[in-house]
Amino acid sequence: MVAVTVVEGVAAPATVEAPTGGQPGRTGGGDRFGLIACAVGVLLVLVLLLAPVLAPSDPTSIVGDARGHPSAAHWFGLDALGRDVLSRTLYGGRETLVIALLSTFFAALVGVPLGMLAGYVGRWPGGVTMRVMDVFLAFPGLLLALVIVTIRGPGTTTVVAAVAVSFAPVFARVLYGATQRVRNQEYVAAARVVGCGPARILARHVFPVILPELIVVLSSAIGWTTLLSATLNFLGFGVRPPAPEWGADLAAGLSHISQAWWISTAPGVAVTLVILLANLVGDHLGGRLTRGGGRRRRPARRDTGDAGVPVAEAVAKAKE
Amino acid sequence: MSAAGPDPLLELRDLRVRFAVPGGTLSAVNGVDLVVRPGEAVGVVGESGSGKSATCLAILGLHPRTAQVSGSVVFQGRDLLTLSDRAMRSVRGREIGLVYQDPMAALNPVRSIGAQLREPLMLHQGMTRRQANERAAELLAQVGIYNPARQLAAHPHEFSGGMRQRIVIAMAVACRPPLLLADEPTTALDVSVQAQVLDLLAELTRDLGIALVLISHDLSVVSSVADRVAVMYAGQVVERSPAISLFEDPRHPYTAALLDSISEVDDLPPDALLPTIPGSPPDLRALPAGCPFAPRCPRAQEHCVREPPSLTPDLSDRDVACWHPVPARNASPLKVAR
Amino acid sequence: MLAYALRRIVVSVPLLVGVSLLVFLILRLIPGDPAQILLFGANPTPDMVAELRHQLGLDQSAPAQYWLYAQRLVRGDLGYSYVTNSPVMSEIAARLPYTIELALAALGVALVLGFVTGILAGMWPGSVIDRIATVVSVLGLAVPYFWLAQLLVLIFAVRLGWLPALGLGGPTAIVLPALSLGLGFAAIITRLLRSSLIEVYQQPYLLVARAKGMAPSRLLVRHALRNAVGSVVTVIGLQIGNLFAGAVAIEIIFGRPGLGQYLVSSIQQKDIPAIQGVVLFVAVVYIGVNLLVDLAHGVLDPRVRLGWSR
Repeated sequence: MVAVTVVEGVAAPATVEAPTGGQPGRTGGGDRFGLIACAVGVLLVLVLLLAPVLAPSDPTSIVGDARGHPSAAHWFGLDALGRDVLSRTLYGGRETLVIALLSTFFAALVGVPLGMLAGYVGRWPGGVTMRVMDVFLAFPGLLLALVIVTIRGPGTTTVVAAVAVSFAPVFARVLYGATQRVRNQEYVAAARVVGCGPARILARHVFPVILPELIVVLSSAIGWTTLLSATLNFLGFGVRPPAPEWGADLAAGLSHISQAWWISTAPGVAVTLVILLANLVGDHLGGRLTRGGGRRRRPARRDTGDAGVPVAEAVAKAKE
Repeated sequence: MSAAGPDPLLELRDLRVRFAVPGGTLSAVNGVDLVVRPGEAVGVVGESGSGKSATCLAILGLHPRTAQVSGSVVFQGRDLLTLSDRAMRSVRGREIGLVYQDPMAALNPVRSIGAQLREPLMLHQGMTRRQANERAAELLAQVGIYNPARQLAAHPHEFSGGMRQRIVIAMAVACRPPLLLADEPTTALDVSVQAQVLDLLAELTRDLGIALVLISHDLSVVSSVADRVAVMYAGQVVERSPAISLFEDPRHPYTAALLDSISEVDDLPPDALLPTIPGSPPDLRALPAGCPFAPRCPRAQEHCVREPPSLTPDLSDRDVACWHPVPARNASPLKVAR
Repeated sequence: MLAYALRRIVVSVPLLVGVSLLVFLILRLIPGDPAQILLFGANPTPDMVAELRHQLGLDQSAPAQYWLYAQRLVRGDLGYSYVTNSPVMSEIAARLPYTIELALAALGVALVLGFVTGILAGMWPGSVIDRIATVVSVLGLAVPYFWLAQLLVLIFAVRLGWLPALGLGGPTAIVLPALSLGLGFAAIITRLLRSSLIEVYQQPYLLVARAKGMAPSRLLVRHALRNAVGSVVTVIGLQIGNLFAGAVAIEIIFGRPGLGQYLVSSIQQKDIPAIQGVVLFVAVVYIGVNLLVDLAHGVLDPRVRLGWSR
């Protein structure tokens, strides 16, 4: 639940800034990291898509000794039953990633319109909507997900639903804040004066402005939903064995950690990598989109920062 | 230095401040020479980017470590640039006070003004909390804060900008430093309170015998307070003069242009464009070889672009760094504001 | 300050009502009849089911049922476990100390590590310490705590044999669970504190404070930290709830009989009152902690007290 909470904690996603942001003499580092992260992310998705081609064996068939060491034939070793860890990790990632993407999609599908409407309408309907969202946010994300698991019983669709329900209020909250800020801008008032209806204003005037913020939350959300869905699978509420899934395989490796550390290493590294990439891409996009055209934070200069103000203008301004 | 005056309190010699920036070095201050004598008020005028504030921070040693500061800052016989961090800390606040340009940002918003006023007193004068509280209340009364003892517990957001600047001034003079640096002390204030704060600053420093360096982009602000004025352009002092003669008889073309822009505003019809000095200040990352003002100067000649003019090194009271200064005139039809 | 405190407390009341309503709804939304679930395997006659339904109040309307439920909640009655038949409140009370111990130990790890590295990195951005702290905290944010736990067990219990991996044996048994749960949290604190310190150090009032002759250590404690810590405190409050949530997996991994383990086994056994009880309990604690944090924030920063309404 570690990464999840950063967003639950703050209204705007920009609180945790880019890894190298604001450091003198290292400008551009964040951009470089972000671009590398984007590239690695694309590569990772490709690898998972090509799992049937790349995997050395079937993820559920026994191909060697139980708890076999990593070797030339089985790079990441064999699990407690003698199944190839690399193959399971490749196939398991498809499961994890599909759950993460689907639940992010559904969470956004519910949360984004809800937050925008509440933020645009404001007054008591908006207020009441957000108080209801606050009730959902009063439960730590995992607990809310476990409530859904209780209601629906374990399974992959349950996990998607549970993760989506946990994150929909987060989307609603972020979009609510963003919409409220935009709603009070003069160009929105101008559009209203001209006679635009609420739907048109939201679509044409509000949405494009808050899109950058939404994209940042979306990309970071992939990381959080990955973690939450892996957690639910780790707790045994997701896929049924012998189906491979990162969280479930991490749980399977737990009881063998003293004899065969490699069983949980590959899925562990994989989850870490996805969350890391999602955070880095989110930070990168956050830096690019919200600060406009990839410009870095203004340098911390004091006196020489605003050179070039016409003297008379300054003089006239200060004159009585 | 003119032989008549007393020993200088502060003497800047060839002060330079440079910053490493992406794409080269930014020269914020380029060889400033300036003398401040005990108890006098010196004005430093220039537009933003002329190096006024950078000079001020260099005196206090408050530039980040990455800045290259060279030359010398001799204060009461010691070169401050050579002092250790610890020794420098005992100079700040005790011997040199600072009034910052933006009173809304100069006070820590989460601490009471009493706590902030007590700090220099307890730090430098070894006062107990109780003594410091009493002294802090006296200081607040001195700068014209009503009901000072009760206001000590208040936080900055409870005061207006003008009141906050009074508090900042009280904080800066708390230890009665021989020298006070005021960096654009009235710029951020409402026009209606600017004069009050300026008067307070002038009065307080005069009464306490504190030398004042008043930094401003506004000639009229400086003219009302300063005995002597230094005009800065592109990190250099281009003209130095007693305040009165500067206004009556500007010698540097830049000073003359500044004065013109003020006087013309007064005479202009209300809807006319404001007069400006054509062109813009030089790029501080690539200063020209010659006079930095030459590209904008109506009096510039060919060699101005190649050879830099300089002030005479004897720090006399009236001097100008120009190959072709404006000819001296005896009387001026100028109307200086205020 | 009193007005601010009252306002914050009043705001939490509808939140508590909403939370109890949501938890009440769990029972209504579960497919099947709770009485049937309860009598599963007993081959009940319709009379037995009807009798139990009456006992549980299930024959009444939904609002009436909620009203009954709310009245019992106010008295501290969370119902009776389907599995053990004992009061859920006492089941929770028996397990709570283990979870509290874990949460507090993890919080301690997070605060100490987070503040030390956050301050070092924030005071000297771009330094070697800062770069190491940044890399480690970026990784710390990404490593899932239930894998981190396995790595720590592997290194410190299996390989080095320094610390026990399982159970409750002595004070050393808490070290690995606390580290597993607290390190990610520490990473969050480090990042937040670093960025807010960097921001505060650029504020003019810090320059003015330095111009008064303050030493760096005093400047940090008296001026910078107090300003920087406000946002961090809010996030710490929000993270406390997630310490409880994270305890679920950590307690299972380390075999600690706390609330998290109880919740998971209750879900597996469909012990609905127990699930409702634990979820509600954690949510109420979470709301309470955040109320305290808001009040603390109000004490730290007088501007907060005036409210954001301005």
